[in-house]
Amino acid sequence: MIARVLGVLCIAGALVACGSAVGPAAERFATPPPAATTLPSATAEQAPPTTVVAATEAPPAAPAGRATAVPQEENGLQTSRTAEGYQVLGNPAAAVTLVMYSDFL
Amino acid sequence: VLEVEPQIIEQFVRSGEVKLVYRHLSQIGPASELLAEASECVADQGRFWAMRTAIYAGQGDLYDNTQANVALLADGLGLSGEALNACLAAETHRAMVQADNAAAKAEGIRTRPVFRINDQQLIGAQSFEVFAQAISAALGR
Repeated sequence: MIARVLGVLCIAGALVACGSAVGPAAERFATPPPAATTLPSATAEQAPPTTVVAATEAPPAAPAGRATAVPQEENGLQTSRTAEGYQVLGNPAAAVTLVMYSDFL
Repeated sequence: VLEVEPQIIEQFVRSGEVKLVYRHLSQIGPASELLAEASECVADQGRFWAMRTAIYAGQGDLYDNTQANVALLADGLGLSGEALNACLAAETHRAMVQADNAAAKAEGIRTRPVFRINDQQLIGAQSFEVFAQAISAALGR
């Protein structure tokens, strides 16, 4: 009887030891569960940098009807649009701006 | 434009000192408005400045059958005339071109061409020397 009790205690102890060893490993390697307590805080912490990246990568808002200003190149020269949406040829930061008001006919 | 502008580009734009900004006028009526729209449609394909040069070079053929002939110019640049026609049919850039013309009027532009080099205004076609002098002055030379 004593031997049986000792045997049961031994098995229980082994399981506890095993459980304490497996627990952290499972936390490290298992796919994180959709825990409502951790995910929202993690998302909130990541949100600011995501917002900043989107703001820096987003092109400036173009006036209605104008294509988004995507820098391109023609004949080895940079092409872009002004903030107002007008076509630009050359270095957008050039010291001098030559504005041409013209008609095609 | 075809004679003077390449000189301005080679001497001042390619060096990064000057940038060109194009403002649409459509003072001649529907045909010039359609060409302005066409140039913006081609800008959607990344070739506004090449198309602008092609339009000026082929200007004499664009007073009649304007849309068909400008589509041929697009084809000549290796662009999709079909996409151009679809863009024109959808009037994708019409409001923008009309707004450009209205904005120019509001800025006091009554004729064409008009050039502004920083704060200096030049009215009418000018020689390269006139542009070079104005640009040099703006650059502080």
